[in-house]
Formats: sequence, structure tokens, C-alpha cells
Amino acid sequence: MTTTERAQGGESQPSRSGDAPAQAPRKPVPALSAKSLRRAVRREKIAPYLFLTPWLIGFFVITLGPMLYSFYLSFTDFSLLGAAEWVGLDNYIRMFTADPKYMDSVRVTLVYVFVSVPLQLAFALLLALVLNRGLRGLPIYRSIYYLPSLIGASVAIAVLWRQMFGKNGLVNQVLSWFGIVGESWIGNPDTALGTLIVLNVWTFGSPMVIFLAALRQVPEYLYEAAAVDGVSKWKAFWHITLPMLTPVVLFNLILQLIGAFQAFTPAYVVSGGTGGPVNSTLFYTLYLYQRGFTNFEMGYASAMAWVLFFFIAAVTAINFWLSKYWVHYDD
Amino acid sequence: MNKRHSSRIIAGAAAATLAIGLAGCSSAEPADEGPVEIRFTWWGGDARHELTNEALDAFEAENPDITVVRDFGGFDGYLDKVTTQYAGGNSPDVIQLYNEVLVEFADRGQLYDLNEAVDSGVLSLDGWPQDVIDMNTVDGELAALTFGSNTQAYFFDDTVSAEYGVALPEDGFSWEDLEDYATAVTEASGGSVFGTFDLSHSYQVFEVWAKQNGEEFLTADGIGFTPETLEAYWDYWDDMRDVGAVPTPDVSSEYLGTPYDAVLQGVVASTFLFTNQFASVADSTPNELSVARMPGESPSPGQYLRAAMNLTVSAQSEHPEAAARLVDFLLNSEEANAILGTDRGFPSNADVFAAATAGLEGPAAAAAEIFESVRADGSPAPVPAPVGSGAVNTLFSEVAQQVQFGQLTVSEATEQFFTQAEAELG
Repeated sequence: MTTTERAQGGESQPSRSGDAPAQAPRKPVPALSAKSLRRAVRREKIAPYLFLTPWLIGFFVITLGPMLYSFYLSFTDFSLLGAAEWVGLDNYIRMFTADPKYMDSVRVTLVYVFVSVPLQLAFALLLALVLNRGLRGLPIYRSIYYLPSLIGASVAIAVLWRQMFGKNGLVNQVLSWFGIVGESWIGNPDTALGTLIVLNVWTFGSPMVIFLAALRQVPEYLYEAAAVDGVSKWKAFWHITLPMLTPVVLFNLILQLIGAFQAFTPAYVVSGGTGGPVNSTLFYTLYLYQRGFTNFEMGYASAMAWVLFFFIAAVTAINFWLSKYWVHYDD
Repeated sequence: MNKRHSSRIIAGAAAATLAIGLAGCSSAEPADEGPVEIRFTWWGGDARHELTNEALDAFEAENPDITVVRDFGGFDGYLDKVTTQYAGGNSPDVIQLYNEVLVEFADRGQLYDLNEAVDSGVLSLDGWPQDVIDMNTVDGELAALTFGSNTQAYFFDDTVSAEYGVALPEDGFSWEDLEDYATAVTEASGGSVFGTFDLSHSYQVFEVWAKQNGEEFLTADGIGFTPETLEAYWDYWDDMRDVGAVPTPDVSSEYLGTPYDAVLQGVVASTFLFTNQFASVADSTPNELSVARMPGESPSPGQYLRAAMNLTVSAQSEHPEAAARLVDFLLNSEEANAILGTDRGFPSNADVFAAATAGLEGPAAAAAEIFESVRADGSPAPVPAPVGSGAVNTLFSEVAQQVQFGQLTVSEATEQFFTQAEAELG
């Protein structure tokens, strides 16, 4: 778009003239001395930072500062209570050599992420395609399907999930109509993680809305040309729609991957904070929380947080690198 | 409005935001004049909040020079909040803590030594049994005082038992009697209600079992029981699962943290709880409930009077004396105990016991009877558990669950528990 260029152009013109006497003022400003112009210019340079001040304070004081501090803590035995002592790389070594539960949590998280995110995106795309067919009352459907995304990560929904997938929950009641006696879905180590995956898939609304917007951007003439050549709808989807959507798929993929790696609330609420049954819902972040706040090992928990940070960064980087093989940019 | 003006306004607004932020940081000046302000934090339900606030109002009326800031909420996230405030150098002055984490705080020097307040005459220990004082003494310092004590108990849903025509086990019943009762309930109800709850995951119940066998769960040095005792315990529950006396593991794991909910939901007919919980549990069901001592209490009892929760003063407190005065009021004054009653458990101070328990009736009186019977015939309270015991408690539950789901045999589980517990305790 050209809005950014326009904005830059408008901004940079007077400031670039710098200290030089007012050679080419943009507009005829009456009685503007060189001095007051300089002051005005300086003020314009400062203004954006002043606008940003609240955000900058927030960023440095409550994001970057604590992050750097936690990086330091990850090399200590900080317990939350009392002073921290330097232990070097001990926390990182322990994680990979002497903590079997840590590996459990990694495994659970990887299954959760790599099963739920593709399913969620496929589901989102499918519904976007359906909704894109010029349905009447589209805004209503769009809102309804978007709703789970807004509330999906909340405690209330996790509590609801716990009720639905319990032994006497809604799911088993429905199954009983067909004569099936279901086990407790959240109480069984084989199915507990599945209920959390379903929960994440159910929050398909935000990728769906983005897909929907992207579908509107696919030029109509491509389909017209395909229709003239007698291409089936199915083929048109694979050879026109999907390639045109790939940049948005990449965007959704990266966003949802990052979100899924950091998921905490559903597992915390559904398992009552334990990650059970038998650690089957022990998300990485949940285990991190247990170490930090239940076992008073905040140094170790900080180290875990940084491993997660670098892991997510690596996955994101790999995705960008892989994207050149499958993402199609039209321009 | 011209551009210059508007940008000046924005800049002013930004500066004001900054100033407000800074002002917020600098308001921690200790005030010499006027009442001293101390902060008291506790967890609980609405009933407890009401009673506690009432007691604090009474304290403020008697001590006009002290204002108590009340910081209360539910148990979820309570410890996170307290530890985070500690880490920020902003801990409350008076803190309600639970026993399992007491040593974690005391061992790191985070609690004020209440002996100092005793020596200066602010805090009285008249009426306090010596074993309760010992229980709260860590490294020679009085880290806490018990703020309500309780004991284990087994309770039954009489209505359900009667419905299926199963007689309740008689007083002094054994673990085998419990098995007979539970099996009979499950059979008579055709499996719609199970006789009792699978407690193989509960280190709190196992502790009673170990004490009945003359051992301890944890001592100051670490594990206090033999592998044989643990195997016998897990074998017992394995058998209970085989005969259908308890629900299937997937159902059990839904009620892991609060077994009594399984009774309230009509899933099982009996389980264990602590005496101070009984009155509110009995209130939340139309069914008739009865409470008894734990199974297997004769010949040698394993139940003991335990601290349900403690009162501590933070080592970070700027007003430890005022804080100790509040502790003294809450624990030793008849007035406070008459207000607080037995919501947190029974008072340890024998001098105020009558005030707290006056007029008890119904379920609360039944629970008091159990408490009294353990006071008369019980096992001594264990010493504070070592650092790392929290992780051992979690481990106990996890390993037991793996047995429930058939992922480990009892002997494999016992071996695994001992190996990993010793690693956690260092």
C-alpha cells in the first residue's frame, strides 16, 4: 500500500531540511522565524516518542526488564523466598539429564501442538470456504463462529469442558442415547489430552476470520479463466484458492503454533493444576508453573521458560525458511 | 485547535501518566504518626471471610493504634500470591500458611521468630500444649502457631446406605470392615454407587496407615516407613478395585483433590476428610451424613491432631510487634475465638477451646467428638517435614495413579517411589 509512503513523505520533508534556513516550507506559515521552525521540527521529532511513552514504559518495565531478570535467574537456584545463588548451567543440564517429568511435559506439549494446530487450521479453512459462498446473514454466522476464539482460553470454558467430558457429562449422556457407556474423558490418561486438543480446535474462529478475508482477495478473473477452460471446482480449489491463500496459511500457522506452545489455562483447570491423570495433560507451561510456585524452584522454572522461548523461536524460524518452498506470493 | 496545542496536550498527558506511575512507587514511607498499618492475608470461603473480618474489626476496636489491611481470597493461587509478594519485598505482615509449606518458608529465614514476641510479653503461650509448640518450631525458632487444628475422619452417606440396606461399620472398624461395607454397597446398588473412594493416591491417608503400623510418613530425616508398609497399602486398594468397592480410576481421578465431592455427587457412599470440613460438607447435601474415626484405629491409633493452618509473621514485616499483637488476639482471646468458632479447625489453646466450641450442634458437634476422641487416644503429631516434602507428596499421588491405571504393578511402584523420593529429599 501507499499509505506508509505517503506518511513518510509527509513527515520527512521538513525534518530533512534540518538546520538549513527555511528554504521550502511546505505551506505558507506566516511569521515563522528559523529558530521557531527548528523548535517545531524538534518537537515533531519528539512527538512520536511521547505518544509511545506509555507503551515504552510498559515494554521496558514490565516486559523486557523481567525477561532479562528471568534470564539471570535461570542460572541461579532462586526459590522465590530469599536470595538467589549462582549455579551456572546446572538448571539447564538437569532439565535434559535428570528430570524424567520434564521430558513427559515436552512430549505432551508436542503432541498437543502438532495435532491441534493443523486440525484447527483445516477446520478454520473449511468453514471459511463454506461461509464464503455468499451466505445470507454472513455477519451473524461469522460472529457465532468467532465467539469461541474470544472465550476459548478462559477459565470458564475450561470449567465447562471439565463438566462436559466428565463421567456424567454431556458427551457421555449423548453417547448413552446410542447405548454407549463412555468412560470419563478427562479422567482417563488416554483421552484427557484429546479433550484439550478438541478445545483448541474449537477455537478456530480467529484463523477462520483471517481466511475469510483472504478468500475475498483472490481475484475473480482467475476463477473465470478457469471456468472458461472447464476446470472443476475441486481443481480450482487446489490450483487457485489454496496457492493464493498460502501467505495467510503461513501467518495463521505461525501465530497458532506460538499460542499452542504457550497454552496453560485449559490444562490447569481441567486437571485441577496437577497435569493429570498420570501427567497426560502436563503442558510445558503447567510443569513450569508447578516447579516455580509449588516446588519453590523459580530458578529452574526460569530456565525452562528460556528453553521454551528459544524452541518457539527456532520453530518459527524453520517455518519461515520452509515457507519459500510452499508459500506463493502473487506479486 | 492548532497542531502545536494538541501536541503539547498529548505531551502533558504522557508526562502526567509517568508522574502517576512514579507517585505509585514512592508511597511506601513508614508513617510514624497515626495508626500503624499491618496487612493480614488468608484464604477461605465466604463464611470464613465474614467471621475473620468481624474478628479483625474487634481487634481494631481494642487497638486503635493499629489498622489491619485485609487481603483475602480463595485457596486457588493463594500461595503464588504470597510468594510473589515475598519476592517483590512486599509480603503481608501476618500470613495464614498451611503446614506443608511452613518449613519451606521457615528454612529460608522468611518468618519472624515468634519467640521474640513471647519474650517481650506481646504474645502469650499460656494454655498451649508443648507438642504443638514443638510442631511449629523450626531450627529453634517459633516459626508459627497453629491457627485451627483438625484430624482425619471417615464419613458415610447414611441415606444412601439405608437405601441399599447396608449397615454402617461399627465404631472401631478395621480396613477389612470398610472393604466389606464398600463391596456390599456397590453390589446392592448394582454399581450405580460405589462403596467408598479409591484413596491409594492420598499420602494423608497413608500417613495414618503408616502410623497405625508404628511408622511415620516423613520424619525430619526423610522417609519414615518401610517399603513393605507401602506395598501393603497399595495392595489393599488394588484389591478394593478388583472387587469393585471403589470407582474405576478414570472416575477417581476426577475427584482426586476433593474426595468428599464424590460423596456429594452421589458417586461413592463414603470417604475421608478432615474434621473441620465436615460441617460444610454436611450442609451441602440433603442426605444424612455421619462421621467416624479412620478405619483400623484399634489396637494402635494412627490419627493425630494436626495443624489445619498456621499463623505466621513475615520476616519482612516492618511492624512485627503490632503483627504479633494481632496473632495473640486471634489465637488467645476468648472474644476472637467466640467469633471465629471452629471454621478453621479447633483452637490449640486449651484456655479458649470452650469459647470457640460453645453452642456447637449437628455435624460440627459430631466432628468435635471425633477431635476429642483423638485428643484422648491418638498418635503424637509428626515433626515438621523436611524441605522437598511437597514434591514427595505429589510423587506419592502420581505413582499411585500409575498403579490405578495398571501402568505399574504395586511392587514396581513401591520401588519407583522410594528411588524418586530419595532423590527429591536429597
